[in-house]
This record gives sequence, structure tokens and C-alpha cells, in this order.
Amino acid sequence: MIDTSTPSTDGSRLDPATPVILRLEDVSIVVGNRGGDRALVTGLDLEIDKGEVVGLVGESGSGKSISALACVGLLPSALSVGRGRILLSGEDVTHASEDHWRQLRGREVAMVFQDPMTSLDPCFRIGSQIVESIRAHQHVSREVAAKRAIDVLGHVGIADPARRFDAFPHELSGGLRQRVMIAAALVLEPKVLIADEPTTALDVTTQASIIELVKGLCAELSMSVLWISHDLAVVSELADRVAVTYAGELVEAGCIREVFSEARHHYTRGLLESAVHGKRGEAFGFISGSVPEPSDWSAGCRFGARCSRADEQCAQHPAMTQVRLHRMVRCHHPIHGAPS
Amino acid sequence: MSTAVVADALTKTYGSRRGSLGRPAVDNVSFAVEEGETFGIVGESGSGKTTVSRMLLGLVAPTSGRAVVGGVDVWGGSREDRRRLPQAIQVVFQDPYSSMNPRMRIGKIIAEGLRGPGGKAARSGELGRLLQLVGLPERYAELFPHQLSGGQRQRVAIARALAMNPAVLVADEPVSSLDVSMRGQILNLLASLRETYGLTCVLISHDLGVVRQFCERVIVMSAGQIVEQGDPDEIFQAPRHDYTKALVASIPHLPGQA
Repeated sequence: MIDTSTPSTDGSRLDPATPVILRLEDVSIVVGNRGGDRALVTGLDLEIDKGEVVGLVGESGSGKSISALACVGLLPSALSVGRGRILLSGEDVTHASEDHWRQLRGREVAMVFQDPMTSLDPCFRIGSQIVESIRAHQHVSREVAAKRAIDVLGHVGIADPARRFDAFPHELSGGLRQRVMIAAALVLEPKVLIADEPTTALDVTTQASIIELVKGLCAELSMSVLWISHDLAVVSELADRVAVTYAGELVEAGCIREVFSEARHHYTRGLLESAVHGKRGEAFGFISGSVPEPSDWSAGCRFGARCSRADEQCAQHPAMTQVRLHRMVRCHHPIHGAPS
Repeated sequence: MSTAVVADALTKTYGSRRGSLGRPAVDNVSFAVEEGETFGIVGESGSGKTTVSRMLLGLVAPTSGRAVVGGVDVWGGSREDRRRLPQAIQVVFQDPYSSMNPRMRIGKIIAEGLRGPGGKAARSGELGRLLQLVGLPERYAELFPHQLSGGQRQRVAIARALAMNPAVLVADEPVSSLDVSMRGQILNLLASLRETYGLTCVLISHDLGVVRQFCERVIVMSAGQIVEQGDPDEIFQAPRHDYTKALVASIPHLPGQA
């Protein structure tokens, strides 16, 4: 069932007619269960349409990884969603029970982590780990599940999947392990895949093949993807839209080409300048200072201390504002793009 | 100009005394780095780039071949010779969290190499100078590593390396563990120190963009061997070896970036 009753909170959505698969409404994630505790993520609004790839970009401490964990019901016990709602295909799962999450994970939403070696159990053959997840959801025989697991291993581009089915995780390369993780995530055909820095631990050539794989699967299965990364270039290779986070909140969101060619927020622009390389001998781009800890967040603009444009107005916390169609920015002094 | 680093047919095969474990990690690698040059080593994980640097640093013994750094024969020289190695070459590692003793104060971490003639007063003056050099306030000498951010810790690692006044500085993925917005700060610091002190720099990286902007010459390694070498701009614009071609084609691009 698709919930269409609530108005859209994410002004950067491209097509209001397609169903929203994953929606975060004003989500705050706090340490502890009581109100008034320290927040690590505040006021996060995000919507992902069917078949869409959204990139969530941020540095350490931006809260991007715990936001992802909240979407699959895997927040560490010390953290909880303090405010707001998380909806999967219209169903409010913000306070779903662990039993209910076990039903949802795999079928509605699946996750791929950065390091496949720590997400796979080293003591079990990879095939049996995929079979286990199929049989946890569906009453099928071991043989049927094994056949499906081999199919999905082949589907993610693993050569000779019947033989790999019997391999232990340590017998595979990092790239193959990440393909196995993606296969395990896809085997129940989830509507949305959450990928947290899935290529960061891999070599660039392997990274390129994983990006191609996810792109292809997305188009073929019209699966939605939330791709979390610190690497702007990786996100630009596969996302339709991008949301930039800084110190626990979104600072800019929009269509990928626009955000990267005409950043409106000073943080986004600084990040882009840091990522683009120049000619030999030229100075490297950077943002002065460092990312603040949650305890050091300013009551005003959290980026203010590192921003060249900051003035007295920035002592007021800026709201996420729509600057034009499909384009949101949280800044009192957004950079003016070229007129379009 | 004289030669700061010579790697002569360096080969390293890992394995037990009874036999080797398949192919060498580093296979017959030779190159020379001139004094004051910035030299890049590029390759993917397992290509042997870090093993090469460890043989230059005196941390991994080559199975065969020779390494000469700042006039010191790293593996063939006398004990006297090898004692001079810390003044010849120093290193900044990728991960500033694991390369520092968490129970030592920053001042001690940096000053460990300064022991010797001069006494305490000279050392503390030198410590202040080193901290200033890497852009940290002097009071940081009293702090512990966990009280610093990743970028600040990497500055400490650079100060520690410079304390020995080395001729050659090896930086092994010095910014890979740092936030994107911080990387430029550290790379610019390395570039300015190189300029000021005429340091010879060996930068090991998987990031071709960084190498292209930082280095005058580069070798590309794959499976323990050098597959291509020369001017970074030329190599990355028109790679000749199949491996380099694949590497260059795999780099993700931002829109509008060449």
C-alpha cells in the first residue's frame, strides 16, 4: 500500500506522481530513550521514489550511517528515533518491533555494509548464509532455496556460481565478497536497498564494476537505492538525486547534475573543491577547520564556524528552504547560481 | 642533483623457510628518485607498493635486490650505516590512529626521535618549532592522541617524521583515512614542507588525481611489478599498459571534470 495522504516533505523530489518507497519525515536520532538527550541527527527529511537512486553524501560525524541503520531497524540500543517518522511503502515503521523488522528486512528493505568481511559469517559457506535468509522468510525446501541462491549469485556477476556457493568468505576477494553481500541483499527482492559506503574498502577497478552492477540491477528490478558515501564522484556516477549532510542535518538536496554543477550551500561547494583535482603544483582545495562533534554543534548554522560567508544572521539556525523547483538549501546566504 | 633513493631489482617473496608462497609480492622493481623530487607509487591493493616502501624504510627485508636511501645501503650496509637510516628516511602512515602510542603525550611522540645531544632545553625548543611547522599550537604537546581530530593527528605524524630532519619522506596513503574536506590541508602542508626543506617525497596512493597534482614522476605497479612509469600527466592522459588503462577508466568523475 502506498501512502499518498501525507504531503511531500522533500522538496527535491523529481516526480510527485511516482510512489514513495522510503520516506523519512523530520527524523531525529538521539542518544538514549528519553527526550532532551543529545541528538546525532536532526530534522531529516528524505524521500525515495520507486526505481530511484538517491545519494546521501557526508563526512564523518554527519550522521549518514546511523540514518541508514534507522531505515533498516538496526540502530544500536543506545540510540533511538526521538522524533519524526520513517515510512516504508507507506507503513510507519518508526517504532516497529524487532519481530516485525525481521519480516521487513530482506523483503521491504535490505542493507549492504562497507566491509563485507565483517558482515559475512566466516564459519559458514556463503551459499548456506544466503539459503538461511531465504528460508527465514519463505517456506521452501533447502534445495529450492539453494537453487535460488545460485541463481542470484550468477545474477550479480559471479562466475561459476554453483562452485562459489560452497566457498567460505575468506576464499573470496573483496570485490567478490561485496557481490555476495549484494546477492544476499537482493535474494528476497527488496523494494529498497540501503548501501552504506559499499565500495569504500574496494579498489577503484572493483568499485567501478560494483557501481555498474547496482545501476543495472536498479534498472532491471526497478529497485530503489539509498547510496551513502563520502565520495562525491562515486555518487555522481550513479545517483539521480543527492542529499548532502553536515553535522547531523541535511544542508542541500536536489538533482545530481544541478547540485554538483551549481552548489548553493557553501559546504557543498567546499566539498566539491576538495574533491576536484587540479594541475601539478597547484594547491589542493580544502575547507578550513574540522567537522564539529555533536556536543560542539552551534545553535545557529552548524557550518558557520568554517564558512567564509558567515555573518551575524548565521547565529540563527537556518531552515531547509526551497530555492527553486526540486532544490533545497539550508543557508541564509546561498550561493547564487547562474540564471536558468 | 644527486640521487636520493635507489631501488635496484628489489624482490620480496613471502613465505616460510621451507618454501615461498607462490608469486613474489614485489618482483624485480628498480627505480631511482632524485634529490628534491616528488615521486608517486600508484597501484591497487596487493600490487606491492607498500612492500616496496617498507624495504626502503628498513622494515621489510628484501629477498634479493638492493635499496640505497640518502647514501645508506639499507640492507647491505654496516651496522654503523644502518644507524644513520632514521636521518635518511622517515614515514607518515595512512592511519594516524594506529601509528601512535595512545598513552603517550603528543610532545613525547614527536620528541622521541630528538633524544641525543642538546639536552632537554634544546629538545623543547625544537618541539615547539616542529609543532608550529605543522600548524599546531604549542599547547598540543600536552595532549593525548585521542584528543585530536584525524587531520590534527596526521599533522603530528608529519612533525614526528620531520623531527629527524630526514632527506626522504615516505607518505603511505597519508590522506585516505581523513575526511574529504580535510585532505587538502594535509596535502598542502606536505607540499609546502617539501618546498621549504627540499625534501624528497615518495607518495604512495591509489588516488591518481592526488598523484597527478602532487608528483613529478610516477610508477604504476600491478602484481608486484612496475607496469608503467613516467610523467603523471602523460600516463593518465594516454596510458599504454592495459592495467593502467583499466585503472584510469575506472576512476569515477564529477560532472564537468576531465
